[in-house]
Order: sequence, then C-alpha cells, then structure tokens
Amino acid sequence: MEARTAEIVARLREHPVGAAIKEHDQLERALASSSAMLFILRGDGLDLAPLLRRVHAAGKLAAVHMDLVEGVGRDHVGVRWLVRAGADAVISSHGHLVRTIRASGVVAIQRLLLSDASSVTAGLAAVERAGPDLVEVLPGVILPHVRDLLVERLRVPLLAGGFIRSAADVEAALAAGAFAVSTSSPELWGRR
Amino acid sequence: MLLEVRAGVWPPAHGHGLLLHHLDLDLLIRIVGQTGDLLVVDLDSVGGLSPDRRAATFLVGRLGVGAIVTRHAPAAGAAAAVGGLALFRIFAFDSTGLERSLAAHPRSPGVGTVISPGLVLPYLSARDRAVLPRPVVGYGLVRREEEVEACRRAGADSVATSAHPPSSRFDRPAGGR
Repeated sequence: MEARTAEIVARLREHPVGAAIKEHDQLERALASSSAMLFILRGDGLDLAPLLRRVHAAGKLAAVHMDLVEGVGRDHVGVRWLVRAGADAVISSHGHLVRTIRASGVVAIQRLLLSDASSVTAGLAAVERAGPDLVEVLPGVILPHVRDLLVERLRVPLLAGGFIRSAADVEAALAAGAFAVSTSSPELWGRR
Repeated sequence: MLLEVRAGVWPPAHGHGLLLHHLDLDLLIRIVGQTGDLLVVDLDSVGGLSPDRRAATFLVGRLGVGAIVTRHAPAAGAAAAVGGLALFRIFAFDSTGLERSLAAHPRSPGVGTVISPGLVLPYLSARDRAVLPRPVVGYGLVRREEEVEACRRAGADSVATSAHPPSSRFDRPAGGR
C-alpha cells in the first residue's frame, strides 16, 4: 500500500465515519467534528481550492467526487485540476478515470454501484482492471447482505457509503468488512 | 414474488411470476412460448432489443408480456399505453442518487416503480418509500427468504429474488442455455 493510501486508511481507522458533504451548510459542522476525512460530493469543482485549504487547516483530509462536482471535465486535465486544488483523494465510478487519478499521485477511490448480481460481477471486473487504491461500495448499508459476494474478492481496502443513517448501520458495515464508512448524517461524523 | 430468470438459469416456476433479465431475444421468445406464468421482462438487459417505445410495444403488445422493467421513460409510457404494466427502474445507491433517479420517473398511469437493489428497500425512510409510485417492486441482490420478507414489510408490492423455491417441476425451454 502506498504511503498516501496508508495515511488515509490509518486516519479513517481511527475515526471510521467520514463526513459526506452534499450541501455547503454541512461544511462548518464537518470541520468542527472529529471526522478525519470529508467526502465532497457536490459543489463547484472549479472553486474548490479555498474549501480544501480550510479542510487541511482543520487537520482533515478531503476526497472529491469527480463524477458529481460541477464544472470539472471527466478527463486527465480535470483530474490534474482537482489535484492542484488540494484533493487528497479523488473518487470516480469510471475505471479509465481511476487509472488517471492514480497516475496523478493522489489516492484513487473507485465507486462500486451495486444494483443487482450482474453489477457485482461487472464491478469486480472493473476494479480488477482499474486497480484503485480504495473501493467504496454503494449502497453501503447492504454490505452485510452481500459480503460473501464482495469482501473476499477485493484486494483493496473497502469503504461503505449510501443510506448509512444510524450507529447500527455503521457497526454493521464495519463488521461486514469495511474499514470505514461515509455518511451525510452529521450526528455520526467522527464516531469512533 | 417474482423469480429472477436470466440466460443459463431457469428456475422451477412454482406458481410465481418470472422476471426475465440478461438474456437474448431468441431465448426470451422461447420462454414466452412455453410458460403460462406471469412474465416481467427487464427490457434494458435483453440482447437484441433497444430500450425504446417500439421494443416496449413489441414485448407487451405482440409477445403478451405482463410487465416491463426499464429506466427509459418513453419505453415505460409505451408499455402502459398498450395495456401493460411498466415498472420504472430507480437506482437507490444513496439518498442523492435516489432523489435524482426518482426525478426522472414519468409518474403516469400504468407506470409503477422498481427499486434496485431491492435489498435497500427496508433501509429507505418511510418518507422515501411514500413517494414511490405504486406498485413497488424490489429487484436486485435479494437472495434470501428473510430478505424477501423484509422488503415486503417495507411496503414492496412484490419482490424479485434469485432464491428459487425447490420444486419438482423444472421446465428448461427447448434450446435454452
């Protein structure tokens, strides 16, 4: 595991609930929480640098979702832009972008969207091809139901995100093999 | 309950409806000709069919399929227009995705909802579930009877499952794979 990935994994293991930021007004609460990492899922991708400086000033790490922020092209130039803005990790569902993200020197998180059995098969193959540093499974709340299909077949650390709304959901996802979760429920942020 | 059927997996029918997905048009036509069970077809995964109005009309109007699943609103509308049931497929990966996916729902008569993965249904809030146009079907990754029951308790009108009940009947269509 590369050093940058190891740092993210270590920080998230210590505080395994990351803050998923979908609205600007969630930012202050996330910065004030003990969450180790913020997952930026919305916003102006062309104006992220000031926000990411604040995240770092608060002693936290930031992952930016390349497929969801606005304004940034889904290509190598867009990846370079996010890296220069200060992203510690970049998230995408697209395998070709994951390879580009890794090559740019930041941690590449590949989202695995589980809708049915065929999406599991296709997703695992896509992860194998792309070689991300980390994988995030969505919806993370179902991880306990599908761990037999996934966990032992993945060779990279696993995050869980999506519909994780309670402490019980967090515990279940961690018990099912995730090393950390992301959630937009502020009451869970920073939970150990 | 709907039993999932895809190419290579032909379950005992056992009086349940069948949800056909990830198969090609030739096999689909053979199955339609050999079963009297309620058939639901995941239009978007049928090899040889485009997920559009014509294909939806063909499935319902010509083949007599009872319902189609699709994430394409025009196809859903066409199936409903010829008297079939259309189930608009909503992907619920997280709350943002659910919201975006639901915004595309045509919300017209004869168009219900499929939630994928079906497993997530029990984890949706009551408010999320209340706004889903009915009938609501859970489809995807439901493999255990207790998961079927959890979906039903969460308000699903039906659940598609790959957990096929045992039966002595095993009708593989001629030439089926």
